[in-house]
Amino acid sequence: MIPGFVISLATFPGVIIHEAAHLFFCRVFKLAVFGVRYFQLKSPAGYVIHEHTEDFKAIFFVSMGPFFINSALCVLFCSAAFVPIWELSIPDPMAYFFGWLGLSIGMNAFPSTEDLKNIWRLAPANARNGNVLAIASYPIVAILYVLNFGRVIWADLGYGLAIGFLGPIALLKLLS
Amino acid sequence: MRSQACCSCGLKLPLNSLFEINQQVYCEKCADQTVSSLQEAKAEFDIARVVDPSICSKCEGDAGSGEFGRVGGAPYCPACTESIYNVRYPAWLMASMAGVLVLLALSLAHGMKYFKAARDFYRAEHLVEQKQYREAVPMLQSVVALAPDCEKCILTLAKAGIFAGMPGEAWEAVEKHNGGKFTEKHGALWDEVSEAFKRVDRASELVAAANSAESAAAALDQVRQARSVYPEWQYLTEAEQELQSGVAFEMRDYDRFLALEEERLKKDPDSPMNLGGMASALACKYAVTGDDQYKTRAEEMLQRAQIASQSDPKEQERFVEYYERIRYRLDSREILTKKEYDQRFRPEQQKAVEQ
Repeated sequence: MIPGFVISLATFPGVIIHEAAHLFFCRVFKLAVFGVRYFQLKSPAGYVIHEHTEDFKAIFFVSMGPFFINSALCVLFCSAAFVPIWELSIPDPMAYFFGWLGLSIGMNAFPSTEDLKNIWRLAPANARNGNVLAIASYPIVAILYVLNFGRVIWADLGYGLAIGFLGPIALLKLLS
Repeated sequence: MRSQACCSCGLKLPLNSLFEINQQVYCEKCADQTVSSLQEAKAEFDIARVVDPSICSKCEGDAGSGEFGRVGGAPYCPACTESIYNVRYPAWLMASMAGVLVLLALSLAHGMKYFKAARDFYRAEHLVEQKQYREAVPMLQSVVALAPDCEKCILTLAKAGIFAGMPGEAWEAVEKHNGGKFTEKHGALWDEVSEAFKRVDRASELVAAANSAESAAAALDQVRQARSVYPEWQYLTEAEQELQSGVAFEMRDYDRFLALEEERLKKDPDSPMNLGGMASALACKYAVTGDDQYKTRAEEMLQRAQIASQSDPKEQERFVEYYERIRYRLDSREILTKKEYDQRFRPEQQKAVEQ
């Protein structure tokens, strides 16, 4: 079992980007921020304490924004890594560096269970009113909720590898 | 700052230091005791810190008799309210995010060539699936040039090369990779390439036998067998046509010889070999008929062959060899095979060939 702080330390760029994305969306949706920790060597590795809101769009983007940003960055950085290493067997040191960076960002994409609970709390009422975002959030939140528990069996690493590897391959297949 | 008395001990303390348990206000000491006794009695209770609306939760500024506005249930002075709604990104974070963007641009720029190569590889794989082998070969060659250790790329190039009738390209690609040794087996692709190389090897053996055959007829037979084994090999089609001309020459059927050479020249009018072959056939016709128009045309063909062979040293060497023989045929009207000509005029060359 690898201690949590070691994993946090090894993937610190992802933690910082995740929290910075939280803060970014709080500012976009004008939510008060009471406390921010971009990185620390204890659990949680980072956090943003923000004002509660009943605006579903705001809570969706504040909670899920880091997930989308981290995932997109993971795919882009990993494109420069997995394509040469995996597809073309080119042992490029730069590719290994970008692979680590991409994976560290992808591994920290998952929203916290607290973030998911916030969406889950507001989703039913908004879905009843025909809010498309609320309807679409159901499967995403459900899957991420389960995956969040799977962190003990490295579901976060699995997710990073899956999007970091399959993302660029899918992009290549689409373009070829 | 406001204060209130503890409902248990009666001590008057600032509001911010008090706790509310089940709607009753306690000091910290009495709150601890009350919570313990409620827990022992397994009774339900609500506990919360009492908030002083005149004290800012962030800077602890005092509003005196007034109250601050609340954000998230806590009072904040106007300056702190502004600061929590507009939390500034620290300078190190801004610099880090700029660094990430620079790294992202760098990674995309650095990875572009790999991305293009991988895209070309997928496109080439698609072409191979569609049996468009000839189009796939140059694409795969550029991929293998960038990724010389990509065994899948090399095997796909070998497959495309063999099925496109370009065994030289296929062989070169495989040989360049650890002398043809592969660390992984690549399933169906490996089997397919191995089987295809067996056909190439058999056809190459037959071509070697054709090269050392005594007559054009014998060589033609070997080449036809090679074609049946490896029909995709374009070279065999050309070799068969050339040997058919050779057979006609051996049979002294110069009309057929000329007709076959005319056909070859039509297919590739700039080939020095075809121009030389045409000159040879016309020289034969001149030798047997004495008709000057054949001689004039033969000389014209020789001239064109000389010009066409200038760009390639190998072709130039060939031209020098056959020019002498055809010139002799035109001057003497005597038709000699290469072997006869060498024996008579170039005995050293003949000896070298025999050795």
